Amino acid sequence: MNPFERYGIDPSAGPLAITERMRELAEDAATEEERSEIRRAWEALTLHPRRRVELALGAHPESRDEPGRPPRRPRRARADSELALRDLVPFPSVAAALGAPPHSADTPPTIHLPDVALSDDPVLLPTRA
Amino acid sequence: MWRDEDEALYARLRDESVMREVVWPSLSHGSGPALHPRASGALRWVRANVEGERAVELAQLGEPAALMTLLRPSRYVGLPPAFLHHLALLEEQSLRWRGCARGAPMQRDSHEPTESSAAQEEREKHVRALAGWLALGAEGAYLAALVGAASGDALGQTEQAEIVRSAPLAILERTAARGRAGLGDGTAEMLDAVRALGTVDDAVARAGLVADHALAKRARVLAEKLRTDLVALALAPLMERFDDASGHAPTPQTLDLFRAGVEVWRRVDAHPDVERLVVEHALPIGWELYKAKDWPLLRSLNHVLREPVDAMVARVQRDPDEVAYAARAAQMLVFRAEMEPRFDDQLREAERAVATCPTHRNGRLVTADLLAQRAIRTIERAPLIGRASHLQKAAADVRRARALWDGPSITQLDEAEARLRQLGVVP
Repeated sequence: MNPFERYGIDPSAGPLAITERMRELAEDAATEEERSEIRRAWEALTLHPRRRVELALGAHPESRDEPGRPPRRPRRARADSELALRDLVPFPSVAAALGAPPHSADTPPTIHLPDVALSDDPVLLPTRA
Repeated sequence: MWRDEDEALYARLRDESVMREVVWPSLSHGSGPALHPRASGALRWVRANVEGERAVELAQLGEPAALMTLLRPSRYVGLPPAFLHHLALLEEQSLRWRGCARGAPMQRDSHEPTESSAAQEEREKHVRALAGWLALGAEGAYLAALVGAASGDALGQTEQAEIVRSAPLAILERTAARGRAGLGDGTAEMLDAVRALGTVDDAVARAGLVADHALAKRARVLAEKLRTDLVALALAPLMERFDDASGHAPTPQTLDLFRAGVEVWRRVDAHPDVERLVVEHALPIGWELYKAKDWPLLRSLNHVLREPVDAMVARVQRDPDEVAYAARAAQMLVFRAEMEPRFDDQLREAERAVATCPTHRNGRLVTADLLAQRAIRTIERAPLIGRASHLQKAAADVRRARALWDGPSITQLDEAEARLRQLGVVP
């Protein structure tokens, strides 16, 4: 397959743009083998200019409509009021479910949650049958 | 809010979908791997007018005919260069993948020198692809810009100019390369390549170039050279086998060699070079068999070589420049005339020999002899009623035989003439 098409490189791009794109691809490569293949393709495209031009002539030119800028993200609505303590303190029923120690009316419940990534959070992990 | 950018993105995604789902499967008969989405850029040019926009919409609805027509214009003059580039690549890529899908040994049907509809389609694809490249070459600026951009500072102006000059004709080299590969693995690629290299004039006309345009001339010269090289390549092993066989008494195995020759002849689109080689080697074999009175083997040789001999005869009768081969073609017809089981077929082939080479001594002799035989039969079978007209027909045959042959006496002719005189008819 034509490397300009295989690696998504604009055929009218010169060696610098090719190098830039190949570097990105090599950084994202999952295996050393894949990285070596990208390196070989990069060498073939950049070290042999005549071959590069022939391959560019054999690749479809970029003449599609420009994709354009994506629409702006909708702005986040601002909170109507500043956060109060009740917004930060868990409900007693939630605190109890999460194993919070008993608390008095004057002392709000505190929960000690493990400092782990969401993917490792035991609360979110599926239960094993 | 639906912005202009959203419309452009929608059009781009729709083009990619139509190219992937409709156009490419249609071009490659579903056998090619997915194209790069950039190929759909061709549809942007199609959508430049209302007709094209409608054609893309119809294709999206499963009716691709109008779109395929717009992607196969009858003339390439004035089309945007990037569109030409897409069209040339699409046609050539569809050929390549069609070829891979067909990479099986040639079937009997595909040997026919007359083109089947599939072969005509292949030929048309070659013509369109080459026409696209020729039109790009004639335009010049697009290729120069692309070569300049892709080469960067690595190539000098001279080298870039040389690539721009050769790029439109590189497709011919690629076609020949496929043919060479086909010769090795016994597929139809050789036949397709030889045929494709003979389509330059059609492509030149479709690209809108005048016949004596410099690019057209270069294309013609290169295609002919590549075609001749392919034929020579196909002939090389055959010539070795003919050389090995020469000097040996002909046997039934000798016919296998001629069968192989006819096979090569078919594979290179009935090229006259192969025809000549085969006939050149068949003539001495034919004479040996004739002298040895080995009629079954001579009849088999005639049968094996029927198609190339007929093609050679037609070419000689059509083209005065082929006169050098007239006597050879005529002699092959004489062998056939001698071996045909039915009298009418014998006379027909003998007449063809004389028509092919009017001065061919054997052709004239055999035709005169057959005419004399027919005159005797006519005399013997002449009914009482209408006898005079039959005798006049016999007299006409005798006169024609005398006109054809003024050499040593032919017994049958003398006899026919004597019988007519006895019956009071002067030939």
